[in-house]
Amino acid sequence: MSAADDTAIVDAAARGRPEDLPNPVPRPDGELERLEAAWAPPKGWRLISAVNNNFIGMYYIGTALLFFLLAGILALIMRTQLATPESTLVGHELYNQLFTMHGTIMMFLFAVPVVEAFAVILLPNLQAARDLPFPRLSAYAFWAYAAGGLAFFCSLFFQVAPKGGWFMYPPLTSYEYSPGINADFWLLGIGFIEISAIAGAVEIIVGVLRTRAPGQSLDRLPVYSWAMLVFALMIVFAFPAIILATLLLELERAFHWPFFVAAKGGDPLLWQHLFWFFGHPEVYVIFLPAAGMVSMIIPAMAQVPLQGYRLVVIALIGTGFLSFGLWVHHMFATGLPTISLGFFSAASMGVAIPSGIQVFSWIATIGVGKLQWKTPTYFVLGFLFIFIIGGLTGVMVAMVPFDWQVHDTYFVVAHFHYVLIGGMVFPLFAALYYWMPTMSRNPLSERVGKWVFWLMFTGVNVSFFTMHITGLMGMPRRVYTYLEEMGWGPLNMVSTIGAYMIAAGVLLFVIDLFRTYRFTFDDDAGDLWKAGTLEWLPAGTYQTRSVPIVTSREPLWDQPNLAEDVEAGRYYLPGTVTGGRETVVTSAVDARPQYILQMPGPSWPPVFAALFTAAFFLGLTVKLVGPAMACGVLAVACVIWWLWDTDPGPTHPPMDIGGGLRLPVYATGPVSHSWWAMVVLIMVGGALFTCLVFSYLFLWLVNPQSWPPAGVSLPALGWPVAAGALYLASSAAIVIGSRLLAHDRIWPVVLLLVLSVVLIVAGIGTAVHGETQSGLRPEAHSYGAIVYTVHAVQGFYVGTLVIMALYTIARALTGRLDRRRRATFDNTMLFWHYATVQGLIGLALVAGFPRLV
Amino acid sequence: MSPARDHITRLLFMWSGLLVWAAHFTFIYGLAALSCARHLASAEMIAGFNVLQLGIMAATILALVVTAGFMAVAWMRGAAAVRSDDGGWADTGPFFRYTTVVIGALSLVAIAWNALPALLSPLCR
Repeated sequence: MSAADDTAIVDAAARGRPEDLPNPVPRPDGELERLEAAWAPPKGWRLISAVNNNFIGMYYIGTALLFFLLAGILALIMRTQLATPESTLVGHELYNQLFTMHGTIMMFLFAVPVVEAFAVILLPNLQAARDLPFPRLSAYAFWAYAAGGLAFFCSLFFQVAPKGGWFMYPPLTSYEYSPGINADFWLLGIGFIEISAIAGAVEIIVGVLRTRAPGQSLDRLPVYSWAMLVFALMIVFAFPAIILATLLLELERAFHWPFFVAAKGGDPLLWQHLFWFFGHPEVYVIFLPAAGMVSMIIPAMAQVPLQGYRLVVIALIGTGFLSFGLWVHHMFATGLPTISLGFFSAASMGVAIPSGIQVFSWIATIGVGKLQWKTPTYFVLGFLFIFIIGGLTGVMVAMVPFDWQVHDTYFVVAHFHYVLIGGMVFPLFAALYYWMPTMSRNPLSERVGKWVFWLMFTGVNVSFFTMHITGLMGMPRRVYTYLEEMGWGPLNMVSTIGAYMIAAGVLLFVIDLFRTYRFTFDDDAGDLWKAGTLEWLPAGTYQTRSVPIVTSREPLWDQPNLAEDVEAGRYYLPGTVTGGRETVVTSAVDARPQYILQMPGPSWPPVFAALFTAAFFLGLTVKLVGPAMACGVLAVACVIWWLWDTDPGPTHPPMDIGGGLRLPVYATGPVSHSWWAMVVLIMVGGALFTCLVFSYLFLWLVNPQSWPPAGVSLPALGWPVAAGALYLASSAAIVIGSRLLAHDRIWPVVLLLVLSVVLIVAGIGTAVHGETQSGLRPEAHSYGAIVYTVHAVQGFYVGTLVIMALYTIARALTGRLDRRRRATFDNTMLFWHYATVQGLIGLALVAGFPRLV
Repeated sequence: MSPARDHITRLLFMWSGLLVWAAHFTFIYGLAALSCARHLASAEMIAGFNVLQLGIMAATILALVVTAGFMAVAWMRGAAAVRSDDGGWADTGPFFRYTTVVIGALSLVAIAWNALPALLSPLCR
């Protein structure tokens, strides 16, 4: 198709000239029925196997809200205990578990999952995609989270819940002071749930960048999609830090590898660095999606476009970056050099600039338009009020001397509840009220909604504003009771009354939800607010009947007859061209249609894989190693079962989706969505490895004159050099295999894959053998512990590569691999090269660095 | 360069200012940690400044120049050059030009502001 045709069709979409749109009407008989049949959901109990974003998104939101209620109940128990001095309702042992679980569940099982859940539902709608690019990955992420999260919560009933606080500082949480399995529940449970969050992030990044409405270029992308892109990239760089941290602490607890034991060259501050390198971005990970929601809700409620769109996009990106320069502000009281505190204090103030840009943009939009006074508006205004107070106290605690005064007091508790409830919970409730008409037959009640708002708004301020004063009066956080003479009793009583007001508001919301919510995908309450973005188009399980061309940021406001033309099937892909589920993949920057992605229908393997993964981690936690390993093997088997029918190859010739636009139904290499997902996964691996290198250098820094420690000698240089050569040779064999695959020489490719496996396994074996030869023991000193961890992480990659290679060989031997159908091989190759580079850097670090210093 | 990689390059270029900020922040924080842990920041070298302060100043000037360079390239490249390859679908040129320059400006402030403690606060106490 020529560029001139493009221009004519895009122009027709912008001006609403139906006769020039890609497809003529009336549409052929049976086209809609075939589309509906392809996207028909499973029935009855088989709904568990649904992978469609409507279903997974609703399961996900429902489960996250359940955890919100559960963690809220824990908060009420704590507030009841603290209402009066010297109360005996709960003892210190249970109280420690309560505050640990409250924080952990709210952060890990409610806040992050619920914003990912909303993205699963909203992104395809906002971008007129039929689904996200990896529906089964969404399903896996959800089921892993639901099963793992519920098992984690149940630890409370057996008195084995973690009790070291949501940030789990060692040495309190290490083997000496926390024997038993309480801490392991946190380390394995949360480490595992972070993997689910990362799976969601991969889905969101590729979804935002590659499955958009044609013409929805980056300058027309809804702010919410921008926010979710930044959010997901932040997860990719921040969450590996906590995964590494939990790995190190679990190694220390299980095998006594002393990363955090000062007497053996470790340092508890290493945990704090890793935790907060994740933990501070985490705050913005939660806030940015909420800010994205607000940037969608305010324009619709004010009936004008968002003022300063480009500045808001810049603010989202700026916040995403700058939030990685803040982590030490949680560590102002740990005795770090003044200059380091200065850097982080400065960055903490600096991040207020992009946050301020967004706030002023929202205020300007409200000022320019005329607000509809509906419940979402109330929650948005409540958000602005509460979040700004939280932001201002945030600037206060960014000042080091002030922070020293209020560190670990209720002032900090007040600050972060204002930030998190204001910055995340209120926008979430606004979003539930705002988007419910797209998910349910009935909207939520306006009358009840205003009661919910006023109860929650008043309750939050009564409960948490008071805590600023309690904190300034010196009440430390995390105490289960206090003496009457301290004079904190009346303020605590007020806070408790506020907490019950919040609870009353939430209870009313839940009652209204049960009363009014009725799941639907094709009979929803519709566009109550007269909004301008694509999620308000008429939709079915397949989302929109045809895929619109977008020429504006608010297409429903600017493109005449858009809804009617989309529903009539005048736009692209008004049916199914392959007979199954499919969506259009577009280019990242300008959203030009590139190919048709064939998508899976209902599927069991992701559900089983998730349950076995959860059972694997749970089994390890309760020290049932044998059954755990069996579940791990089964989980991998289920993943392979799930993957087997991916990479279908060019099953159809290029297909016409309307207007003479013929798209291929298969793609390999950098244009394919799977290549992008693999690149994102490699970024995750790179982030984890960078944190590992940081840990090594940190331990070196705190061990002057003993790196390696006395009595330990470095392995002879021949071992690491040989290991590196083997890594390189394995990658070279894969490259040769790739060349041969281009000529369809399958057997040599198989042999080269086998050779690559042998070479890379020999490589890691040589590296580890060199260390054992020199007599290095991991439990003696932090030096040995971190050196073996560098090799162990590499070993994990080698193990993964062995499975990937065997899988690729199996596909080759069953005729599923050839010069055109080679996405599986390409992904294996990409990951292989990454592992080789990482292995070489690791060898240079453990064998070269100590020789240099 | 393949089209897919070109898309990634354009996104990275848009974020160039903040990528420089990240590199600068990592460097000055690492240098400060190293200097304080190994007592390298006690002796004055030039004009009353010690090695840590001089290192931070040099890195900051370099970071500011590089960021300004990215902004200048984005500005001079202008909208026209990028417009041609978007065809009839979209015209992202002006958007990329504006966002790259403003992100650069935000980064200039962030880089300078982050380096300020090296001159104002005590170092390794």
